[in-house]
Amino acid sequence: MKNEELDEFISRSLDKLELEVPAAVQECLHRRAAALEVTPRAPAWNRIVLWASLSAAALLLAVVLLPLLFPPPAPEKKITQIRTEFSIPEKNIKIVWVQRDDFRLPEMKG
Amino acid sequence: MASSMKKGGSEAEAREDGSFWEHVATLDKKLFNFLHRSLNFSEDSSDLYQEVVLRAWKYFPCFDARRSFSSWIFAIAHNEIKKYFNQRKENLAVIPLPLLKNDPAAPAVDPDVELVYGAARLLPPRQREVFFLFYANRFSVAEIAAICSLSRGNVKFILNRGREAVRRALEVSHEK
Repeated sequence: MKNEELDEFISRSLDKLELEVPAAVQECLHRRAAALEVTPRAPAWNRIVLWASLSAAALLLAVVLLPLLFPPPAPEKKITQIRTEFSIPEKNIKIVWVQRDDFRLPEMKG
Repeated sequence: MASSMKKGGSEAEAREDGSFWEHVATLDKKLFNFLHRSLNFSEDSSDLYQEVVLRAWKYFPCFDARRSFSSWIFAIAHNEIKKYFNQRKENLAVIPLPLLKNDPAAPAVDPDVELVYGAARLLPPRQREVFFLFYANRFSVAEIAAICSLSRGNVKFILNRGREAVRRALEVSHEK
């Protein structure tokens, strides 16, 4: 059988079996479409207000929670002085050497 | 085709004039049969038909009147069929064609019909869709390519496979 004949045969055979759309299906379809139409939809401005307030609340929550979840790092500890003590108890001598951050050795002259 | 897209109008206005149902009435039988054929006359076909029409109803305000309504709604049907097969894990429960005779609207099934549908059932779902779009719904290769998002070459290749499947089935039936 040639391709054209075979195509014609296939189309003819398929056309022999055609189902009608059941009335119950059509009825159900129209009912569902009507229900879709009736379902109220919030006006655009309502949705905008809702989304804006939700976004603002989320932003506020983030601002409050962020410092709690990620606390700022503690300031770095700095050595401000070095204290060295010598004691000779039998002579009742105690030497305290305090080295501050502004300590400088005297410059040697000459 | 009357213009169905009303620029600047609300969605409800676009549907109010009833043009949607007028369009659907011209091809509801074709669409219904296409879905039944693509799903091998599964019991889910009627539900899927309703889903397709409701989806079209929902998006009708966005329909571009310059396009063909039949191509548009069949493209929706193609997407729904694709979604159906993606979600479905088990095989389809195929209803044998003679059982369709229980439906008073269905005519008696002759051997040629059984042979052609039997060959089509062996094709994978997407190829089966292309087969029915061409042979039953008489869409052109270009239209099928647009509906199924395939290249024209691919459509022709699939149609050739379908044709060969029927040819083989015919040869086997003649040998018997």
